[in-house]
Amino acid sequence: MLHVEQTADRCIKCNICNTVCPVSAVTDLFPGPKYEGPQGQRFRAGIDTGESPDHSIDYCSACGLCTQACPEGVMVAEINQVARSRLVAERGGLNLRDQVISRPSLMGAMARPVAPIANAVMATRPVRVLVEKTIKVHRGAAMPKFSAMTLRSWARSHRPPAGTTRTVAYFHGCAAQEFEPEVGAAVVRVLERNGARVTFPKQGCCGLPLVSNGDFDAGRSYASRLVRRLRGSADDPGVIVASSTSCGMTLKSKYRELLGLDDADTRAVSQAVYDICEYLVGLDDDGELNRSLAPIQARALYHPPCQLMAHGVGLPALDLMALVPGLEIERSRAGCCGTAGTYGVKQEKYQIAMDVGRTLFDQVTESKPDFIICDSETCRWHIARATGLPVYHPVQVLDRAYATA
Amino acid sequence: MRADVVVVGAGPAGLATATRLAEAGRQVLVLARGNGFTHWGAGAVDVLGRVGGGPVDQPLEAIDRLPEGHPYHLVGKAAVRDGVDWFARFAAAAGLTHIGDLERNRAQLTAFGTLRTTCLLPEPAAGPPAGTAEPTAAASAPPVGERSATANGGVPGHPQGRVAVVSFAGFRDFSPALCATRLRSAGIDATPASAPLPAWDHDRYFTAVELARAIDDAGFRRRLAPGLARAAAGAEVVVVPAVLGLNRGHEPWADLQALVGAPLVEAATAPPSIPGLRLFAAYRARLEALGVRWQFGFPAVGVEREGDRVTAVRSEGASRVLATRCQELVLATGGVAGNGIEANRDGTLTERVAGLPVDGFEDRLAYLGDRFLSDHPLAAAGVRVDAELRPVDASGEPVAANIHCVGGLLAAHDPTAEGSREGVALATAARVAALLAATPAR
Repeated sequence: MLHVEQTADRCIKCNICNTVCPVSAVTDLFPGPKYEGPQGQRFRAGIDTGESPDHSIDYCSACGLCTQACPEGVMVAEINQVARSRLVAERGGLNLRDQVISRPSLMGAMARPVAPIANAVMATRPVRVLVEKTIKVHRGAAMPKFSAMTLRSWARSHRPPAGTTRTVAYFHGCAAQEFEPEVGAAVVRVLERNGARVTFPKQGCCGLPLVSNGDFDAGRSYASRLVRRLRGSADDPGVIVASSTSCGMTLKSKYRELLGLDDADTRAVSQAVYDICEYLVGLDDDGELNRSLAPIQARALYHPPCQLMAHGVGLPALDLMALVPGLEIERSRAGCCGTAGTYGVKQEKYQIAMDVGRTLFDQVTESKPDFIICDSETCRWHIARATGLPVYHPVQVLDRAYATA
Repeated sequence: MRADVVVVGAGPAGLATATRLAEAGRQVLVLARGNGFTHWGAGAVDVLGRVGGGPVDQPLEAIDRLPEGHPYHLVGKAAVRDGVDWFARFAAAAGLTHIGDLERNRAQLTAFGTLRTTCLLPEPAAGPPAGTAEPTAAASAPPVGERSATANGGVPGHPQGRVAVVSFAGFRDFSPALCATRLRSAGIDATPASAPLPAWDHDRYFTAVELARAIDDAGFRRRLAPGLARAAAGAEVVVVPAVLGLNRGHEPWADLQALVGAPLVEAATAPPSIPGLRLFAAYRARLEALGVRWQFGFPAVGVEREGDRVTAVRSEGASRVLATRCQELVLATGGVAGNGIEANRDGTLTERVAGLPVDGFEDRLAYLGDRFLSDHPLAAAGVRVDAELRPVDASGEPVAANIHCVGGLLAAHDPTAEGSREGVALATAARVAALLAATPAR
């Protein structure tokens, strides 16, 4: 298998990647994946100084659509992410803002004891202006709500049903643990409705925000720690379910592709990870999904996150939503909502993220759904802030349909 | 995962087959390693441009002169007609009317000032009807004669009069001087010119895609038109690069033509092809409306079999190979250039999804061809099939009951040298649609 950077050799300069880039479509600050990726690659090969030839690489949002569109197998987005990590190294590491937003578990844990106060403070305009001026997090960007209760503390008081037929380990990641324990609880209840006993292996941040901001060394230490902690679950029960699309993607492929971790332990963990909807559709394929779902009379718009596409599992949430009687689903026409993880919260990139998301936001304005469904947390926060509509994880929809069945 | 029919490939053959099968009520999944030929080609429908090295004027009639075993012979002329008619209806319904018919080939102007032979061409590339200087949204260009098919006849449908070849300031993928010079050498009164772009978001970097998206906007067109009209002043026909709108069908072209007050002819550019992207967008919208799923970026890498049937397609996933169970498998993966067939360093050829037998050549020295992308023996390598487009072994027996092959993957034709790519794609899609529409979903 070729190293990410070697795939540049396959480029035939056809420009297909540039046709799908949502960022270069809305700003001149990023000239497009082809110029930055395979074309820029030769200048980074170390023939001269190996220094980054073009700092606009930093405007790539790493949505990954270019890699999926390429008919020749060039890993365009990944080439760009490796290049960004070199740029960050040349600059002497991440700036303060990127260090902070790259450590969601730390932020969540620090704010937890004072969550209501922290949320109230963060909701005020003067504070957001101050935050923007000091660490350059845009005042308009969506912020997750800190939660006073973590998912794991909820799980300790949760009584699982008797009579389970299978066991799965749950990789909840930082979002469900610190910010949205209600999503994690829905995952657990839906799995339990399907006869699963859910285990909570010791875990932690997967390091994706560090990786996508360009600090590969710090990301690698997070990755190694997480692989050690999840290694046992990869053997027993052998299935690790993830509800965060981007963290699941990171565990499945980015440790190998970007961080160069290709040891037996990392491979074992990678191969045991399933996106929650992928896992449930797998149960349905085997005729083992509990289909007693009550009707939800509503119209919803489903937006598949760009990072779900990087799983290569299609759109399993659509299959599941089709099982809910009465629920009418419209598909998003947008390739990306714009935020791409932490990209859209940055002061200098917020407007780009809003412009990228316009395709989706306009569709929402036009079709006026009752709510929006999206697998990835940062997308949900961004879309909710931009549209004012509630945005749910697909499993939350299933959880509700099961509860009333 | 599970699907009724899996179509592998998203080029002209895969997209048409998936759409037609979904229209026939089959539940379809499209698996593609990436975008396909739509983004590279000219957005036209080539049916048959050359036979035995000579130009073809009447494509349907010239099918008789193709060698035995050619895909057109396998499916028959009725399927060719069915495929092309279906496409014309599909494209028109999507706001992308194409001009032409199977009785006579036409010429499509390229950015190089040459004419390429094709059968159906997008209305904005067709030029105004002969004898009218008025722009019309319902243009129907007359067929071109032999002279124009060999790059001597001028702008399609309008060989007489003054032609302005106009590009837009800062657009790097179209040289009006090159195009006009070639046209002049062919006896056309062509003059190069440049039109200014109104203020917009892309001053430093833009390709045909950004420009075409901007031209989708009516306000942008209104600001663009006066400069374009000035650059083309006095011309009876205005040739522009094919960038007049991306997601609004041919309406931006018709609107700009009315604003400028002269017929606008889109010249096919180097990739990315805007006319091809328009078609892809139309297919995508239609497929999504029909509930078709698709997955890009993760190639199909194998099949699972039981007896003479394929039961599942294996595709790459982020960390595991995934199996999608299916009743029928359609391979629309293309030839060597489309990555459906791998040319190995030892001279052997491998069909990438199901390991099907490939009709190629024994002697590696047969790889040698005199011209790039033309009459190259490798381009004609492919999978040999029976009359139902099922792959066959050396003795002519089907190797699987539920695999069908369409488009460039098929043996015994060279889509580039013959100028038959979209025609073969659409005719074989028509055949498979007829075969599988009759099979009820199980």
